[in-house]
Amino acid sequence: MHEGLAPGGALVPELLAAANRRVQNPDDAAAIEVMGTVTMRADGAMRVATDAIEPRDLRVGDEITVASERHRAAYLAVRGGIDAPVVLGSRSTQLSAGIGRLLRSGDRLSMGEVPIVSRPVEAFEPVDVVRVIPGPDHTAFATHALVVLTSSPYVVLPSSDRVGMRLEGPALPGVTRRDVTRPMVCGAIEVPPDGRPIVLGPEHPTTGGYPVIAVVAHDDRGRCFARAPGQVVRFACLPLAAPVR
Amino acid sequence: MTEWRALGARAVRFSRPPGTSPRALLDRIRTWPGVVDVVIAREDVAVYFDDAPRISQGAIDVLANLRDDDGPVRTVELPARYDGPDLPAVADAAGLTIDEVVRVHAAARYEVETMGFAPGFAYLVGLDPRLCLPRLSTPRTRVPAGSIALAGGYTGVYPFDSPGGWHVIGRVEGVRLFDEHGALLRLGDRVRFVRCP
Repeated sequence: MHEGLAPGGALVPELLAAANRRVQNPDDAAAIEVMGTVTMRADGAMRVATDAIEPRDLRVGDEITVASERHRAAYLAVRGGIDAPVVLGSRSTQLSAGIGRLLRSGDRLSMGEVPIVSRPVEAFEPVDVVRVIPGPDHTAFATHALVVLTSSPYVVLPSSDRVGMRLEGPALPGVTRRDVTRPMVCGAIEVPPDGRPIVLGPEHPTTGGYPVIAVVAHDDRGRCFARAPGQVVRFACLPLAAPVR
Repeated sequence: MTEWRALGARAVRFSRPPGTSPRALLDRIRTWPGVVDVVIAREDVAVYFDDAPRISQGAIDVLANLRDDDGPVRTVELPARYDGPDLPAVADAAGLTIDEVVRVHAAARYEVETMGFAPGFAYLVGLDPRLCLPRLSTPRTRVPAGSIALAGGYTGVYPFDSPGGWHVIGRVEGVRLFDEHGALLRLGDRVRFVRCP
């Protein structure tokens, strides 16, 4: 991130892991993140699965259609992983950095050779409530702003993407405009002057100019980002730990 | 004592110690246990850990007394063509002619103070005070990759096509600010703009 590059990676790592485990891949093997619908055709024998579809053995010409119906993103994994090039330590596409691109009709992908790992698939449900930790700038807001954030339902807006999840709901009061750009983190809830919160996603800018009222708990990020536009998210506040001793 | 704040459960943010080179900060902080990344912004430093942060207040406080490393400082020359759409407005606001703006901008020696905004985007300090202008009141929805721009006392080069609120005065030629090897410019680098013939 010191070069301005966000960590990237899956929007919902739990669903990526579920798809990979079904084909005995390591949890972080390269797979295809689908927002919408995609149909892939096999040009050889291969075993594929998604976070929702049990493993299936495809032969030449067989097709599989994957749709992100249940969650914001679905994941299509193939045994052996996708053989995408490693750039700056990762095989993941990062559009904001010009690394890779969206798949287009007619693209061909190669299988990799990641080792076989057998681990049980864990159930995944986006919990009703996403836990947050008070952010470094929560004192820049009116004192009841955290209460507003954690007591009101917010709706995911269609403009949400891998950079940030934009939310509609009660405006967070008392935001002061600020031009100083500060370091950010995936899961940070940044609040622009209009008071509408944005949860920064895996392709977030490494620095940002709006105050951070709270940060989504590390283990709840995937469950937060799994929500599709139109779905509701509620936040609950965890106590602020003392990380520095 | 430097005040720190939690940036989530796996990162901390604290004030950037004045007078310490960003390179020395980065090198020292990376030796802390469990550190996976560091972001140094204008006023703040954020340190990202692989789990709950394991550092002491003393480790943060000692950063204020770091001696600069004596290693060689890299100077990067960027070939520049000054033909940006905001040159006339910048000249007006600065009370200079267009040619003077170009000469003043190309004569200065810059330093990378912060990386951020976009992959490979370097906030360069060292701008002539006459060129210190506020951001555009209405940001552009698209600024082309390679654009040389200035605002808020900084100058910089857009690595990618992106929205932008800075005054565009030119473009670099023949260099990419970010590619598969990472960022061209690094914290602490010195930067010169060399006018293309």
